[in-house]
Amino acid sequence: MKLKVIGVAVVHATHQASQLAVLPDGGWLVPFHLAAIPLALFRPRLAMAVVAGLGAIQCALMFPRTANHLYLGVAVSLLLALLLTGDEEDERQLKLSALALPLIVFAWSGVQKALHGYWFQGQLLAWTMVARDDVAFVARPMLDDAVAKHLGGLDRHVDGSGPFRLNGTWLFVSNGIWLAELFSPALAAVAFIRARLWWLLLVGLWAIQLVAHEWQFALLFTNVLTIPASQKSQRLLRPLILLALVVLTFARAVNAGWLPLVIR
Amino acid sequence: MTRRRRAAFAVLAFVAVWPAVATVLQLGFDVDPWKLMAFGMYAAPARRPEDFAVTLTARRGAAWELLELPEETERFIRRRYTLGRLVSLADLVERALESSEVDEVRAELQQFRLDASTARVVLRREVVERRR
Repeated sequence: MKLKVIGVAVVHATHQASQLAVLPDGGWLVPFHLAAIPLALFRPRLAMAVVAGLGAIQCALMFPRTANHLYLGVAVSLLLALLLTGDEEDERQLKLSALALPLIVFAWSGVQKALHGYWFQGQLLAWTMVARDDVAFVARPMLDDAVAKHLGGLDRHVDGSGPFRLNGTWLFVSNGIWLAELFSPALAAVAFIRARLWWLLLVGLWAIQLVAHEWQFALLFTNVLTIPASQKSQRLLRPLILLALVVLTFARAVNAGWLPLVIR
Repeated sequence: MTRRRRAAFAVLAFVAVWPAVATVLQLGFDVDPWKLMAFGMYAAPARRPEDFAVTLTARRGAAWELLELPEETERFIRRRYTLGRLVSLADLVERALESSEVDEVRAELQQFRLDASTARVVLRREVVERRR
């Protein structure tokens, strides 16, 4: 139990510290965040309370361009500060919260996609393939020549440029994504799935990252989703998350242009 | 349920309910769905400062001239492309009117957006004019 408590807090404190690599005015927060990491080894709840406060400052410094993973980082810090006691009932609530939080985010993400209407004809996927080099890099091998040629001729800064649409399998994928997100909370209603939900969500989360490359968001939720996992899975996954955070921070710190998929 | 557990539940409830407020702001004021914890990442194209352009022109007597953009323009764009119409173009015009000896100021905000229904890029224009 003790190992598990330490693990989640240390990884979360490291995650919150690693975000500073992309925060333009947050340099003075670095020593406080670094101090929170060893503190998480001995006083995990206190460390999480400190990290929650520091995270709130990060949010304020970035406002209004605050990324969602910064807000979510504060929410996770608060949940850990409140529930990481080792008490059985607290642990039960923490495990439920660890599943509920990603489901809330996925469901709202599905609602927003339906509301704004950019996924019904694959418009957002087409737009992202044009506007983002890292997405084009991954998606281009999967596009047929006609679609690749069409997208290659589009420009986001030319009035009337378009249509930014996809068809065939891409249309199925586009609509499948928002529908899967919207109805993801229904998975928790089935007992058989609920017991395996953490890794199902983990697979979904990382499937999205194959294209989206939102590493900070993915690593935050990977740590959260391993809370309901078995001790064995936690012992395997937490060092991997730590390693990924170190690689991510290093790549950003040295502005590794040779790792375009990592430094987003 | 202890006070701590109630507080943890409240945190979770806030995260679940707040996006509804953010959604109202999106629909009413064109707030960026990617921001303000609405969880609308990838619901619409990400907005970038280079998609926005502001021009300020001023009239002295009968002649119109292009005004140099004030320092706060960059801050205006940064806030505007996130907070939508919650950040008013009129404020920029009024500040320009106060800080220069002109009779009238006209601001035009242009932004490239993808129209969901036609799937084509549209150039949106917003114009605000103020006279002394």
